[in-house]
Amino acid sequence: MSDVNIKGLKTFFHTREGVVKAVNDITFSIPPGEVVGLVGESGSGKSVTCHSLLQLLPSPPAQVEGGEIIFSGEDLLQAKEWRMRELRGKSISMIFQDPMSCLNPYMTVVEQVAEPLLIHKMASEEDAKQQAIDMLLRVGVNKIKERLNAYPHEFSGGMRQRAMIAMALITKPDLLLADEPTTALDVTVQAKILKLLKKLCAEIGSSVLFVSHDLGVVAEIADRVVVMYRGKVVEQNTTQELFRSPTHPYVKALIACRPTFTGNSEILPTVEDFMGNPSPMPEKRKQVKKSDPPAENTEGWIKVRDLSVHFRQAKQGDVVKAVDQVSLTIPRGKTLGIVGESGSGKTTLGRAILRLTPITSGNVQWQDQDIASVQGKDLLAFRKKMQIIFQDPYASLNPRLTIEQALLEPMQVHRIGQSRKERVDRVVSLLEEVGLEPDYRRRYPHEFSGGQRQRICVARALSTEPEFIVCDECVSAMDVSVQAQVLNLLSQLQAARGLTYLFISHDLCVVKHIADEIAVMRAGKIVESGDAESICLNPQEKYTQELMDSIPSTSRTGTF
Amino acid sequence: MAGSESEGAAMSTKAGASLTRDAWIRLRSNRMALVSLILLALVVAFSFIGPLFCEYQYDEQNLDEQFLGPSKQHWFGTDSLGRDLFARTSYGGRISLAVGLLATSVSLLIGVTYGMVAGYVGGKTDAFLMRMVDILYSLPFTIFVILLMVLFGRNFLLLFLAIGAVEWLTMARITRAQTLNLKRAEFIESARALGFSHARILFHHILPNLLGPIIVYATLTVPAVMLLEAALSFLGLGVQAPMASWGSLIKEGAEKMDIAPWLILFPGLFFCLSLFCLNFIGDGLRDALDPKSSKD
Amino acid sequence: MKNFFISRLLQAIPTLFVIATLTFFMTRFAPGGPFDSDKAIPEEIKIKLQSHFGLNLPLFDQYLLYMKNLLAGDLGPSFKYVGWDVSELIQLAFPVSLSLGVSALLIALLIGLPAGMLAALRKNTWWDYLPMGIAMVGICLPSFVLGPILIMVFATKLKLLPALGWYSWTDLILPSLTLGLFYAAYVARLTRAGMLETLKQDYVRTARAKGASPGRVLVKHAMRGGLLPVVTYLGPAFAGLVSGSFIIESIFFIPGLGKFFVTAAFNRDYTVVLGTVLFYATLIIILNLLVDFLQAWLDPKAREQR
Repeated sequence: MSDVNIKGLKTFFHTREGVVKAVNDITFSIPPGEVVGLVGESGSGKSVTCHSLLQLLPSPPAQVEGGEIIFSGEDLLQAKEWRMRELRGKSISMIFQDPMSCLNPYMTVVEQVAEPLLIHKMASEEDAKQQAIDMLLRVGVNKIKERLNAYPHEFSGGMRQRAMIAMALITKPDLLLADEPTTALDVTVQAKILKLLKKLCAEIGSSVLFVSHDLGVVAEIADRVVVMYRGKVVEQNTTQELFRSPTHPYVKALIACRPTFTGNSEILPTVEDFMGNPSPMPEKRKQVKKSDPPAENTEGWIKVRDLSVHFRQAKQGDVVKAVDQVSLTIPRGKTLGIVGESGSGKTTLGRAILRLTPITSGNVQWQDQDIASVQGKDLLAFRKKMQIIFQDPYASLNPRLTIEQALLEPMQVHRIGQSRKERVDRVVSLLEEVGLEPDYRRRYPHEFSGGQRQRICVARALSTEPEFIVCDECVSAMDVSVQAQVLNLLSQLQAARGLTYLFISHDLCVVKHIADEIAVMRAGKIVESGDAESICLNPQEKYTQELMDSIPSTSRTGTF
Repeated sequence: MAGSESEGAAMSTKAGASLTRDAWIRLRSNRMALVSLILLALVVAFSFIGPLFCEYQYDEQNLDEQFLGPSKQHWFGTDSLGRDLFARTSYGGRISLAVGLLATSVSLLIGVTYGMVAGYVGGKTDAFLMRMVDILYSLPFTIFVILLMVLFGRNFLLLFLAIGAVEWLTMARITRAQTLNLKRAEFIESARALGFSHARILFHHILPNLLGPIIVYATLTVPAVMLLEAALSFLGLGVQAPMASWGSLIKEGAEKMDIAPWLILFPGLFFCLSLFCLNFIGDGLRDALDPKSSKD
Repeated sequence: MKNFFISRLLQAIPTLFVIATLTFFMTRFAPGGPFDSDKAIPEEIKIKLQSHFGLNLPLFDQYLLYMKNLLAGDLGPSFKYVGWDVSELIQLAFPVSLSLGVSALLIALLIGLPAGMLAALRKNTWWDYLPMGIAMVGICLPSFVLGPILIMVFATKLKLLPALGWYSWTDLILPSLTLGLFYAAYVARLTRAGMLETLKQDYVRTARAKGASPGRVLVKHAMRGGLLPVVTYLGPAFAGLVSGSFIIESIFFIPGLGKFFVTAAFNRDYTVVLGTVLFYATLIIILNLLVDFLQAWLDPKAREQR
């Protein structure tokens, strides 16, 4: 049991463009045996803090400029490298976000889990191997006895993360640093891993520094919470107090702009609303022309019947049923949410409806026309009306085209607008509609932030005047505050233009916020569907219930 | 350490900085690459403009002036037939550089088209095309080139076609790998969703994004091709008299090295210098186009 | 692993087949080729050729005869060296080339690997710039330039090492150095790049987070990934060593297979040329197989491919 006290820590990065003050004078402590959650969005400095504790930052750009980190009476920042090596893996262990890239692909899992014992001479080779097997069983890698010589790539994501935990805890460290350990995992797996971590660390008596961008996840596991914003600590308190009565406006914003299950608001508040300072980039939320009101018949506008998408696996020759006999209807002017974990087939479904993936069988009816069989000019006409927005806004934009070029191209292909001038005018109004400065249209994608790029993708999707948009995890890669902005934008656009959305996501809270109806998918099939309220608050199927239960309670209710 | 939303505020409204411009700036700051560019330009100038300053022809024999060392008359000296070495070296440069450039272009054309088609079409076509490449790759091509030379005579055209045919395989592999990567990128899927034709996607979206690695590899292929041609000429199987390339000049020089070392010195120097510069420029281009690689 | 072994072996066979067939048809249809009837060839050879190649048989039967002979290892009689069979000549000359090739490879690996690793570990210092600078020069100095220079310096001027011929083991030094240094340069650069790439990987950071010493990180974690590019390069390197040997043996007057091949090419000794081509092709395919196995042994993920 050890005390960890961080005082006035400053870590700066010296880059070609100048000095980045990643961590700028922070102070907090981790009491022995407790779990402290370190929360912040990207750029807050939370990961850098975590890495600074173990002095794992690459030294030319990164430099610790000041402060102390007192661990059991010793200042880690003054420790020499050989002393740090003694502590790493033995008294202070770390687990990382992506277990695939963080495990050595050329060593067996058992070897890697046993390694800390061998490095710190805590056991003989035989003994270490046995302890590793025991530890792996303890963390829930049940079939390890049959897979003693298995390599990391032969395990699933959840199993790999459990192996990482085993590797970190095998030496019974005083402090465990966890850097976003559940971010890459499905929500049901995440719930189990959080429980495991909490239980094991309590048994071993380790304190934990749990870094995450997700307040809800942190609330599940932490005793105390420290919130960081732009390199500084803005508030710290016990978890209960922080949620019940947050004081700093940023913390209030973080709590408020998460869509929750019980929340009813159409428009989410954003960080700017709380911080009081006007957005550095003025958001022009122009209400653009009203399109025709949605047709009277809002029923069954897009009908999917027995849709199947099968892939043939080149290696084994067996067939993967990504989408298996799925039927659903998407009402006009509304949003249908598709929820599922990885491998559920939700992304394939979205792409199949848009004919970006070949359909094996079944049909997709759109106003009595079977989309699956149209060709040529008809296909082009159909593409004009149905668009898609992807998850990764950077990969979604051609890095060699300016924004203007990227927005003009669809208009040229679909012959929208009579002259170039008319098209450029449309580009300007599109950019204003999504809240971007039109003068920026001559810039390139890499010059924008993630949230801005996603808005550009929205603008591009709108450039063909579509009626239906598939949103494929389009807010999943974002910070909570940016996510709120984009969700608000999507809602406004739906109201102004009468758009219909198919909103695909793994994040139940987001889907509940934006969808009118929800379908839950698993292993290619629809498990349950119905209107959003009843699915979320009164699920019938066991899997749906399991999904709902896995959501951290704070995320569900917004309160502690 | 990207910042949050408000980072975007710092942008001014002047025209955007394209990736090409960024790459050019990075290349310019790489001193070795810059020096190499300048040196290479000088060598090219020497080969093509040099003869204007020389009063001798490359094949002008003068048996009274055999094996003369460098002097004011003959800047690089003369060879076994009294031919001026300066003229011959610059002529050899023209041939070697031309072969390098032409053969690389041939391999570029074949390789890029092949790789792009294989990567974009995918599926069985891709599997078949790449299996062909794999089989061809495992053949000892140099040996085959020699065989070709032996059987079909020493034809200059055949020479650089054969050399180009050796190098296209790697070009095809690289292009295919890049195309596969790009095909999966979401902006290509967006292009399809927006209804763009395959032709438009290939030429407007995929090809421009392939250019980076292609240019790097092409720049590194030129010295490889020049090496191959020089090796062949050295073995007597490359260019035939009265034509000369740096390779054949080096061969002549090697034979007479103890009595006239300048005969190998000058062509050897120019040859190695060109290879050196091309390699440095290629490395520099690679670093400039992909800032995440090696240097840090 | 076993399946991998078998499938790879099976893939090699069609390749050999293609080569044999290609060579056959190329020679039959080449203008000025060996079977042009107006060539002045000694009588004894003509008779031997007739019987060996069955020149009076229809084309397809000639092909079958050719393939049958190949499988039996019979490559026919030499055009120039009366009384000698091609396979006998190969048996005589190949061991010489083999020793040259092996020594060159050893030099390449023993110099290149440590240099590259050191450069990666001491990046951006003199331990990096100097070896890499030399390596850069190395890949620009082809063997036919380096060879004569080395001869001039070590043999002619300094009289330290013998230059030409193949009499004692000292004759091996200059030629292997000339051939090997080029590949040492390549190996050094590849090793450095591979090590740097691997050292940046997340799993290396995990190893450090476990408290591993730099030595352990290097040997147990970084080495495998870092050396993989070198192993991949070995395939083309073997091919290069083979063709490089032609030049080296010519410069240093070594009676190896390469020199025979080049001489035969000049002398239009077609059977020797063809036989050598087939021999080398087979050799390289076998070597590539070995490289594939080495790769699969090092990289567990590669074992599952194809």
